[in-house]
Parts: sequence; structure tokens; C-alpha cells
Amino acid sequence: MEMRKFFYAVMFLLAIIPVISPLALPVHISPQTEGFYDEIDKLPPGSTVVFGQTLVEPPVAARTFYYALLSFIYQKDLNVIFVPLGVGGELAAEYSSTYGGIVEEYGLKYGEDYVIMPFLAGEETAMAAAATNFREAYSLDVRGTPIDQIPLLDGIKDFNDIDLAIAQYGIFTFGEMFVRQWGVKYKPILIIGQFYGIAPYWGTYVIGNIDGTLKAMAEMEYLVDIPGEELTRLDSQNLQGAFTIIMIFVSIIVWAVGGRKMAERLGIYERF
Amino acid sequence: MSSGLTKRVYQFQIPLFLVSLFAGIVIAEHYLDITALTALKDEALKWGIIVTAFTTLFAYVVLVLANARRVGRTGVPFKDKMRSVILLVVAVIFCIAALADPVRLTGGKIFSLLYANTIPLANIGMIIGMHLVFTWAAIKKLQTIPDVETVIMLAFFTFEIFAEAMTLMPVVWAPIGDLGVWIKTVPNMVGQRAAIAAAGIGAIILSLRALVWKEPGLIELEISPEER
Repeated sequence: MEMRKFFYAVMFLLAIIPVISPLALPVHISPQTEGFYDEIDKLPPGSTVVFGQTLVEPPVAARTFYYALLSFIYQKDLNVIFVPLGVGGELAAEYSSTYGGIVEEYGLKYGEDYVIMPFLAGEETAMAAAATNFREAYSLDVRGTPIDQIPLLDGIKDFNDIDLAIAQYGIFTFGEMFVRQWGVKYKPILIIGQFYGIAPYWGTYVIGNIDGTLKAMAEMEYLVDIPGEELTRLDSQNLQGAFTIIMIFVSIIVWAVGGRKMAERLGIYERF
Repeated sequence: MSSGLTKRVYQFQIPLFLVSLFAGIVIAEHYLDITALTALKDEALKWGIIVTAFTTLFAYVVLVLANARRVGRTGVPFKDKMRSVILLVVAVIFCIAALADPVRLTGGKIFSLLYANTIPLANIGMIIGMHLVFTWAAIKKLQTIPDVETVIMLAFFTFEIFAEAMTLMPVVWAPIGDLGVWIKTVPNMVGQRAAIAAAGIGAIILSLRALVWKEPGLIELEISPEER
């Protein structure tokens, strides 16, 4: 078998082994993920969390991460107000708030334990409007119920009345918008999105971060002890990474000992 | 054109003046507890949302119209025409799905089911394809190392891949994890804070100049001398 084919075959095997039989390899928890977990963990039961999402589609690729995160929130008996800020965000919120039968599992009641607000256009303007004057920004929830008739929204005038804000984004520029409108003006926030976009505010206005990478999502699943697809994929990533490192060292040794000719003969080196 | 309402004035100086004025109001409102300023800012936010909603609608109308025109035009390459046809067909299908529940529209069951089972999956497919193409192109590029910058970037990229993507690495050797965290939270943070501070000061200076009508701005470069 050619070296290249052998490499692909091994990579394929390493990808599917954890899927067939989860390996539960050790997970190193970053300070950002740990901060995220701790801030939710220390909220008293009955606290209200705003979950701002810029998703434009249901988060199918990260569904078990959202299931683990929301399970953790509901285990702590916290309430969630979903605030969609991306076009299609209402469906995303509907999907992530119900995926895996989480509503039945925790006996959640819509309007009391969680509520979904309609999409608000305007990105940063919308973030500011929702935070500064919630009742002006919204008159109905996503199901058409007037907000005055929703028990969970009783007494919520602005973000001074909520206990914690979680902000999710995919495009890094949204990170600063959330920080400016929610983190700086009200309370430090938690972010699900690339760390690099919010690095200048880490530790002051952002006190927890799930980096948006597979690793960070898997870390959260590991911390809340609800293993999902991210942990399985992380096992595959770890195995494939370890194998790649080994192959890099093997290639370096072959080059050092026999030069390009030997590398070409063994199929380690090949021009495209 | 050298006198009267020039392009520079109505395309640049007036908008910049208004933006600077509003920025000043928002900054003042942040630090001063003046009810009138807060009311003004809240009203402006409300109008911001309304205007954005109309802008979004306008953007979609333009998108649909442009694609419809492309389909009707002769001489358009077949691939481009098909792309427009697909966009229009999908738009029509989703419109019908939304109108199937005239009360909840995009919140209706048919629309939700259709959307949740098509768009995210198509997106995943596109992301996988994109990564494959990018990775392939990157590997091809790296067949010949052109300069020092590429070597440094490759070294950091490799480090990033193994230190960040593999949780096993810091478990096996803890310092590598700490080093990754240090890079992210010290040099990276310092550099970004410096850039933001510089941009912030620049924006304030630019706003002040605009308020006193002294800021020609970057758009100046796009206006020919005859139009000034």
C-alpha cells in the first residue's frame, strides 16, 4: 500500500473509532470555558438569563453543545429569554430551546421558564434597544403573545433587571457590539464566539467564553457532564492530531537520514 | 463644479457631521444623567431599528429583482443563469411555506420544518467543501516556501493546530496549554487594546473636525477635482 493511502486509511479509522466506541480521552479545560461555567453555576435558582443569538439558522452542527448548555442552565433552575439578532434567529432559538426533548425532560413551561422574542433588525442598534428599553423594543413575543401577558417578562424593563447575559455570534465583529451594548453598560457578559474578537475585554467586560471551536464546546460538555457529539469529535481530532505529529517526526527522520530520494521512494514526499 | 452644494458636501460632509453630532449625544448620555438626552437616544435607537428593517427589505427586493433580470437577459453564462434560477425558486418555495400559515408566517410549522431540515445541512456541506478547497490550496502553496513570513505563519499555524485543537497536548505537557492561553490573553490582548485606543482617539479627532466643517475625509479621494 502506498504511504499516502496508508495515511488516509489510518486517518479514516481514527475518525470513526471514537464514533463507534467513545474513548473519553482527558480534556484540558481552558480558563475561558471555566469562567463561563462558573458564572452560570453561581447564579441562584430563579435567576433570569438573556441568551442573545446572531444565528441565522438552527445550530444543527452544534446541537448537542446547546443541549448540554441549556440542560445545565435548566438544572440550575434558571430562566432564559432568547433574543434573536440574526435573520432566521427565531427558528434557531426555537430549535436550540427544544432540541433533544429538553422541554419535556425538565418540565419547562413556555412563558414561565423560557421565552423567545422576535427577531430585531439592526445588529448593534437592536442590541442597544433591547437592553436599554426592553418593553419599547418588543411588544409581542415570537408566538404573538403580548409581553405584558408573559410571566417571565414581568418587571423586566432593561438589562439591569436580568442576572446574566450570554451572547452568541459567528462573525467576529458582533463580539465588540455585544460588549459595548451589554457588557460595558450593564454587567459583564458571557460570550459564545471567537475569543480573538473579544480579547481586549477579557476579564473586565467578558468573564466567560466558549471559543466557538469544537474544543471549547467539548470542554463545556465535559464540565457539565453531558457528553455529546463535540466530545466524540474531539476524541477523533485528538487521535488524528497525534497521528499527524508522529508522521511529521517520521518524515523528518526519513529526510534527515535518506534525503528527498528516500522520502520519494517511501511515498512520504510527493510533488502535486 | 466648485460652488454651491457640491458632491463632497452632500455625500460626505453632511452625513459625517450628523454622525459626529449623534456620537457626541451618545457619549454625553453615557456620562451625564440628563433625561432629555436619554429620551433622544432611545428615540434614535427606535428609528435605527425601523430604518434597518426597511434597508433589509430593500436589500432583499434588490436581490430578487437583480436575479430575475439576470434570468431574462440574453448572453448571460448558463452557470450564472442557473444560480439565479435556483435562488428564485428557493425564494418562492420559502414564501409559499411561510404563507401556508398566514398568522405565524416564518414561525409556522411547515416553514420551520423546511428551513431546519434544508438550510443548516446545505450550510454544513458548503463549509466542508470550503475547508477542503482551502486546505488543498494551502498545501499546494506550501510546496514552495516563498518567504520568511510564510514560514513563521506556518510555524504558528502548526502550533495553533496542535496546541489549540488537541486537548491531549496540554494534558501530556501542561506548559503548552499555558503558553497558548498566555499568547491569547497577553500579547494578543495588548495589541488589540492598543489598536482600539488608537482608532478611538482617531474617531474623536475626526468627529471634532467634522463638527467644525474641517474634515474632508477619505471619500475625498473618490471625488475628481472637477466635482469638488
